[in-house]
Amino acid sequence: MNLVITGLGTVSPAGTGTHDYWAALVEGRSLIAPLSDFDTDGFPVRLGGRVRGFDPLDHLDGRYVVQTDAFTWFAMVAAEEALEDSGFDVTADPYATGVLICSGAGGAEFGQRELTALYGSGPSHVGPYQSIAWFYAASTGQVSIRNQLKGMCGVLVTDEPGMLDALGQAEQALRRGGSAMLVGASESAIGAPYSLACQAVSGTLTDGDDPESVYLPFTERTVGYVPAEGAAAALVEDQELARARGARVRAVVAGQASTFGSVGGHDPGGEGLLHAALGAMRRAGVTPDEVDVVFADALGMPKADADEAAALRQLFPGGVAVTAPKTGFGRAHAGAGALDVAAAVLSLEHQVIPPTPRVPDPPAGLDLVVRVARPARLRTALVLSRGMGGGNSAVVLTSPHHV
Amino acid sequence: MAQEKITLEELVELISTSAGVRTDAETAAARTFEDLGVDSLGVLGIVAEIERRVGRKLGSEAELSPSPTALTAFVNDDSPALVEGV
Amino acid sequence: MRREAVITGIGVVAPGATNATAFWDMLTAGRTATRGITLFDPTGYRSRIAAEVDFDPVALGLEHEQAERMDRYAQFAAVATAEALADSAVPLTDVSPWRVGVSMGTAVGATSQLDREYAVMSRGGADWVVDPGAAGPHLDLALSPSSLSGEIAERVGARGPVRTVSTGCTSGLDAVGYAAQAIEDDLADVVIAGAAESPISPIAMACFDAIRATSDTNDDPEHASRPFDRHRNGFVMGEGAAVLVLEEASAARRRGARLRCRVAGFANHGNAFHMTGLRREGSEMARAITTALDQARCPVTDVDYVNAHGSGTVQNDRHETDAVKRALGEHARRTPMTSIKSMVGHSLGAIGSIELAACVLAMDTGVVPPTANLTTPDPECDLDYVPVTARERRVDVVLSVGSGFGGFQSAVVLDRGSEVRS
Repeated sequence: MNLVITGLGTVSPAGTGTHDYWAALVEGRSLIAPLSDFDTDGFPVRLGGRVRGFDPLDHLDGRYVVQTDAFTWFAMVAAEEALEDSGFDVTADPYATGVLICSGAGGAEFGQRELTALYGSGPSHVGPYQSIAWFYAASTGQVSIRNQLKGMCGVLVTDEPGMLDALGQAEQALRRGGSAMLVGASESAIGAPYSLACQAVSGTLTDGDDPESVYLPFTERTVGYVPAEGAAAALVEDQELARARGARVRAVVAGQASTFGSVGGHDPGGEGLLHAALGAMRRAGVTPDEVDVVFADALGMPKADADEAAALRQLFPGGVAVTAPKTGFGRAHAGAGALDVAAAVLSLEHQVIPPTPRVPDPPAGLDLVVRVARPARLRTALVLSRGMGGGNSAVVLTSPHHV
Repeated sequence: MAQEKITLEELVELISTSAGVRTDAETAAARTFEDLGVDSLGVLGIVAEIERRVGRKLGSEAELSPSPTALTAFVNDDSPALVEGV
Repeated sequence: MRREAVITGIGVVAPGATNATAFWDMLTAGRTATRGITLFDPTGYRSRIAAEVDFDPVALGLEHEQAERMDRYAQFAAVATAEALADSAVPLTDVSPWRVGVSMGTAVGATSQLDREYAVMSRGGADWVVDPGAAGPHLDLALSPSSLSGEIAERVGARGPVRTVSTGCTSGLDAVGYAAQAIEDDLADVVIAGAAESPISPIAMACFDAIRATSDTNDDPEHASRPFDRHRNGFVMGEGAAVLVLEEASAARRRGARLRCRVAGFANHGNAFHMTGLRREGSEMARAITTALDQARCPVTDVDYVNAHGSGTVQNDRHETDAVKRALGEHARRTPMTSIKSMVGHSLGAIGSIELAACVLAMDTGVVPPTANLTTPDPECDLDYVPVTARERRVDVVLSVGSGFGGFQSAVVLDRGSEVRS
C-alpha cells in the first residue's frame, strides 16, 4: 500500500503556514534570535528559534487557548491547515480519519506555571486543566475533538524522528481500516525556563550569543545546536482512494524505517541511521542512485555530524545533494522531523533544494547545498532523523508526478 | 481580607480567564454553563478561584451549579464555613 | 502466510507484588494494595491515598548506576523486562538485533522526577527562571519519555523499531497493540512490549484533585477503589509496570517456546467528544471492541472474560458497561467482566499492560480475578463483575478494554486458539 500526502500545514519560526515557511527556506533566511521571554543572563542557552508573532486567539477559540499549552495550539493550527489543504471531507464518516500527533516535552510552559502554583501556593492552586494540558497526548486529543475525528488515535514520543515514525505508523493503521490519518508533531519547550534548562542538560545545545556563528552542522566550528519550536502536520491517505477522489497529491510516502542507537547518544557510529535509511529505501523500492536529495539530521555536534556524513558517504558512494534547512531556525525537538518532512514535500513540489543557512562551504566529501537554493530535478527525497531518546528514522518521499 | 460575596460581573470575568469563554452579564444571567460553552473542568476552575476570593470552601454543590446565576446565588447565600488551607 | 504475534513471557511490578506470581496470588485472593501515600507528604491534598509499590531496585536486580540514572517508572519497566525475558526464555542472541523492537507506553513519563527537580531548581516555586546549575544530570532524558523504551532497548540489545507510546490511560494497551502490528507487518520478529508509570507525585495528585477524579476515602484506603459499586467516589492512583515478550508465532513455535496466547486483535478510536468526559452510550469503545474482535476472527460469543477499564468513576463505569453491552449484545450478560483496579489502583499509562498480564494469567490458571470492594452494585451497572471473590473459569479468549483522557478508547483481544492450547 502506498501512502500519499494530500495536505500540509506548518507553524514554524518563519510564521504560520507553509507559504511563509517555504519562502524562508528558499531564501535561506536565518531566524535564530536571542530568547527574550525571560532574562537569560547566566542561562546555558540564550538563542532560539521561537515562533514569533503567534497569537493563539487569531486562530483558536478562547476555550482551547485557556485549556491547552502552546504545543497544542501549534498542533491544532498546523492540523487545520493540513486538513483544509487536503480538501478531504472528514465529516462524511468520522471513523474514516485518525489522528497521530507526536509530542516531545508535552505542555512545558503550562506545566511550569502549574508547578509554580503548586510549590508557590499549595496543591489546591493547581488548576483543573493541568490534567489535560501537560500530558503528551493533549494535542492528539484536542485535534480529534476539534475536528471530530474518531479513527485510530495515537501518540508517539520518539523525539526528533516522531513525524517520520508517525508516517510509518499511519501506513500500518490504514492497512487495517480507515481512509486517512492526520499525522504531525509539535513542540513548544523553549519559552519556559524549566524545559529549556532540562534540554540544556544534554550538553548538545549551543551556549553561543551570536546568531550568525552558531549551529553550523558539518563544519569544524560547530558546538551544538540551537533549540527551536514549531509543528508540522500532514493529511495522509491511501494512494488509490486519494486519486479516486481527485485529490491533489503533494508527495508519496514511499517507505519508512526506524532503528535504535543509544539513549542520549545520537547513534554513535551512524550504523543505526544507515540501517534505517536502507530499510526505508528497500520498502520504497528505490536504490540509492535514485535518491536526489537528503534532508540530513544535522545535529551540529562534531562526532554526530561526522557519523552522519560517514553514513551518507557509505550509502551514496556516487554522492548526493544534502541539505539541512533547519540550520536556519534550529532543532524543534519533536517538531524537527515534522518540519523536515514538510520541507522535503515542498522541495519536491518546487524542484528546488533549499540551502543550509549560514554554513559557508560544503565540507569535504559531502555535497551540502549551501548559500543559495539549488534548482534540481527531484524525484526522490530521503529524510533522516535521530532522536535524543535513541531512535533513528528515515523516510523516502517521492514526487507524485514521476510515479 | 477576603471578600464576602461575588458579583455576576466578577463571574463573567472569571468565565473568561478560567474557562476562556467571553460573555457579558446579561447573557450569563440567562444561560447555563453548558449553553455558554463552559465545560465541567471550567466550572471547577471558576469555583476554585471564587474559593480563593471568598476565603472558604464551597464544596461539591457549588461545583455542580448548572448556571452562573445558580453559582452566584450559592456563593452569596451560603453561610460561611471556615476552611483550612485556602 | 499471515504473520501473527504471540505472547511468550510476562513480567509484572505492581502495588503489593513485584513479580507475576505474587501479583496473581494477590489478585486471586482479592487483596487490595491501597494505603496512605508514603512517597511524598500528602498533607493538604484532597486524595491522600494510593496503591504504591514497595520497590528496592537494587534488590530486584538493577545496578546502582542504573538505579541512579533511571526514573522510578523506568526502573519498574527494567525489572519487569528481566522477569518477562526469563519467563519467555527467548534466545535474543539468536535473533538479529535489527529485528528486535521495543514498544513501551506511559502517560506521564518522568513527571515525578520533573516535579522533584523543579521544586529544587525553582527554590520551592519562588523563581520562574530556574537555576540551571541545580539541574540533576539526567534531566534532559526526563523531559520526554522516549528514554523509557530506549533504556529497555539498551538492556535487551534491541536495534529495531523502538517506540514510546503515550496515549494517556490507554498507553498500556496501545503499546502492546502496536507491538503486535510491528510483528504482523514484518518490521520485527521479537518486540518487548509493555508500559510503566510512577505518577504518585505532588503535581499529578494535585491535578487529579483539581478535577475530583480521585477517591478521597482517606480513612479507609483498602476499600477506596470500588469500581461498579454504588459507593464509589473516584479512582485510586496506582503505579507499576508490566512487560510482555511478543514473538512471531511460527518462530516461537519452532524454538519450542511456551505460547501463552495470540495478540489477536487491537483497535483504538478517539471519541472526539471531550478530553475527560464520556458520552454515556460508549459507541466509540464499542466500535473498538468490534474491530478488535473482527481482526481476531472471534465471534462475540467466544469471549470468555472481559477485563474492564473499571476505574471507579461514575461516568466511566456506566460508559463502559453500556459500551460492552453494545458490542457484545446478550453475550455481555453471560461474560464475567472485572476490574483489577479495585486491587492495584489505576496506574494511568501502565495499567493497560498490567491488565493484559492479568489476562494471560487468567488463561494460564483458569481463574478470573474478582472486582474487589464491590458490595453494593450500582443499579446502572448490571453485568457480572465477579464481586469480591475470584472465580474458576476456563478462559481462552479475553477482551481487555481501556479508556483515557484525550478521548482514547482501546480494545485488545487475546486468544489462546486451538493451536496454542494444544
